[in-house]
Amino acid sequence: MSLLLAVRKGEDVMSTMKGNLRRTILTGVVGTVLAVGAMGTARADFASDKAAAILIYPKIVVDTSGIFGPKTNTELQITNTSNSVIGVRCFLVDATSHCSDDPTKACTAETEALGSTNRQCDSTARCVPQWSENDFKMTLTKRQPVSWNALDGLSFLPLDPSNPAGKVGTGGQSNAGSSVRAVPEDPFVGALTCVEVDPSSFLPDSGFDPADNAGGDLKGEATIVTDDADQDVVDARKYNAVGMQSSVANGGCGPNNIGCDGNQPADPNTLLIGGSDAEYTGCPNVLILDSLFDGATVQTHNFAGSSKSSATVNSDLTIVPCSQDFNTLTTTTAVLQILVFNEFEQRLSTSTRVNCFREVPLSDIDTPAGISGDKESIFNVAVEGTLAGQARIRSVEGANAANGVVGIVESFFTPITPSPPRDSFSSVAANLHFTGSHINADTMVLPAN
Amino acid sequence: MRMMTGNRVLWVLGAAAVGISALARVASADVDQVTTEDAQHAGSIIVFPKVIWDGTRDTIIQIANTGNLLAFAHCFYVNGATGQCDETDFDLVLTRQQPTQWTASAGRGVNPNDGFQNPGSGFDPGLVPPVPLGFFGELKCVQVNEDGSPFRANQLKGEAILRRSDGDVSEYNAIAFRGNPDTNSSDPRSSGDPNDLLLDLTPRTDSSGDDSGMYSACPDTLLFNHFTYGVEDPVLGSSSAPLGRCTNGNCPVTTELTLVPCQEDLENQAPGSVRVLFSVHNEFEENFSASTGFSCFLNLQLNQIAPAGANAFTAGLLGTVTAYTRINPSSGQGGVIGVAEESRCDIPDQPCNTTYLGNATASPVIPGSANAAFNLHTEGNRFDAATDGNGTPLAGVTDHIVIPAP
Repeated sequence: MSLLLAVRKGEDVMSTMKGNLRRTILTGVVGTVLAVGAMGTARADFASDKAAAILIYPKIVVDTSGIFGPKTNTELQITNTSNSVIGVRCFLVDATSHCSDDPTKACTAETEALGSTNRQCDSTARCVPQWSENDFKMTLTKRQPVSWNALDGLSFLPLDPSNPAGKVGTGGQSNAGSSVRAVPEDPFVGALTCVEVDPSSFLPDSGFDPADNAGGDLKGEATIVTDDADQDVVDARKYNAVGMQSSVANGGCGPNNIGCDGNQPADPNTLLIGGSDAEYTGCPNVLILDSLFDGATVQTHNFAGSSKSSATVNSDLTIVPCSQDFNTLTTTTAVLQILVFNEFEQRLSTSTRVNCFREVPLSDIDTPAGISGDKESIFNVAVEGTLAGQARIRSVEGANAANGVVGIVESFFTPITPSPPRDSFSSVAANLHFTGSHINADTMVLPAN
Repeated sequence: MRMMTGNRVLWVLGAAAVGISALARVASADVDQVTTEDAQHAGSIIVFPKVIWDGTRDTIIQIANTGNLLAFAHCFYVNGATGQCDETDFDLVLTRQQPTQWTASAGRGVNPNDGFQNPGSGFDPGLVPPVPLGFFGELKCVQVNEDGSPFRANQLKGEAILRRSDGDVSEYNAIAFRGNPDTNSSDPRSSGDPNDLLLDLTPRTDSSGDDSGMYSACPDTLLFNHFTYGVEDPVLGSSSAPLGRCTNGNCPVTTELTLVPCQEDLENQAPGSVRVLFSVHNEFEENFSASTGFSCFLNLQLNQIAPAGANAFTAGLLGTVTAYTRINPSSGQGGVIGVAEESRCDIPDQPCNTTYLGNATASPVIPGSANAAFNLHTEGNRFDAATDGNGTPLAGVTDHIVIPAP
């Protein structure tokens, strides 16, 4: 118990790899204690502002040639929030679509839409969605932050002895054997999922930080940076990675089958997210998106009753399913039922599908891709009549699968007045709110290490 | 006839009970068992820590009722720029699922002739006053009943967009405190004053069975990932970087931190005060520290946090691109919440150094810079963390928000 208390106080006890055996034993003890409900006071969270055992970065963009818009890259950050060495396995999902007539050309539904002036494919070709995965792993020392840009990745982490510029951490800790994969192509659109694992076996594991009852030790952020060279303007938008805590924090079953009742998959690389036998907190039942409707004109900087600055707003929604099979690369499809409320309390609805990854302008959810028809969308101010709206996005649960989804929203503000010194859009990214949970579980399958 | 009337009353009451029961079951599918504050669930108190109207930057406020019942809210602008934390309050009424919005500089009037697609279109939620020019502070909204008494139904959510006059925008989510609908003034720590709101709902108090825990407690620790202050942006900042915009080291990333105490007495205009400790970890696992105290509202560039001579947040000292900072209140003090905002400075033909950066009462106004706000992560809760070791809260540590009587 004194050992447990020492760790609870966050001392250096667990800061070296030599502590792995002791930590494994300790994890078992903690898990058992939690499982019998001796603590019973914590509650695992699904959140983007708590450390967690699974992180999802729903959107990563690289386009350094500016094919789809201003030149873009994404800066990624991940941190071990605990006082212990941890392992991380990450899965970079490439969801870039390509032309059916030329697979070397990237495209989007918007570039190939009717009336587009930025077509990438031949007029008779289609833009074909795809999904492929690249994975990498790393070891993070205690409290260690790491960052990289998506285009380059990281050949060495800061405390890797192989890194010519590297150092050795306190007590000999290192990031040996760690690296971060660069995106496999440019342009690139996709998502990143990272799972906390044991630093020795690289099998999925709970967190070690008692401050969150071993719910997980990872936190992360992504910043999408654009450089509009034509207009001499940079832009940045940032969101927090979405986290799923280990159910150990609930006194439940952990990813190493600690305290489990035998209903969990025998394969430790098959992770149950939510449901009655959850190893991780379930994905939410409803995502809540508050945004300004597409086409809305916001007026700010009110001096003596007169607005001095205005802009038109358009938003993109990015959604990824919680169920992902990185082993067999089987895609998951979720159906989304969406209710939209305006400021008159009027309700309209629509529905759509997500297969693996979906980034879509709000007004294209219920109208054809591209600007054609946007003013007939229920996400457009021309239909809704008010500037602000609230959308409740419910993923339809299957008979045996939750079909949960997570996502972010980005809004793009194009200045109207004053005569814009910034003749380019400026953007924001935001994490969605959510509520409720599913009855069934989502499943995430990792390839064997 | 009288019997028939009585039967009808009973039938109606019975039907109503069945209906209410059914509604309760339906509603329970969406009830979140959350006892900590966060920025992604609806709550009964929402806080926008950073609201600005200084002539250069304005703030677009969005608030929504996420419930299917009418929601009332009592809101307070607290101006941190004056040093006195002056407060202005107003009321909101939101119909079911109704979103609303306004800008800090203009507020929102009540005008049934707003028409469509205009800033005032939609059901006006009530008269929202504009903030005075030079406002730099927080907005706090408390869900109440129609009579103005606090009501813990967890229906409010919000977002804030900071917009600069040249068009740059930056967004964060309001921080929500969950209310415990089962607890009224029966909380054993309550003063009995229904307007004295205790932030003492934690997983422990929620499961204690003694009907305690009123609103979710403040976090014990804020977890803050940031670029080291002044470091060259890894994407924009050098000729070898992917976008290669800047070649002279003139694209630094800077970060501004905004904190507000959880404790706040809006009835007596007594702002909370707290000293916070910063434990800064660089990518080499090296640890540095700093501290600062503030009352009511803190808004500082990281390089302005003490000690000024050897600032623990600068790229020069930390030597890595990013750092991880843990922010804790000093022992025996209440909690804090906050947001951060990064600025990517970009003036291609000029050195973009710290002389361009903002100060305590003005946000970054660097022409051409790109701002990106984000919510901080949190860990633990201040109520349980600051006890005497036997589960009894230390005096003065339980955070209270006291609102004026309706």
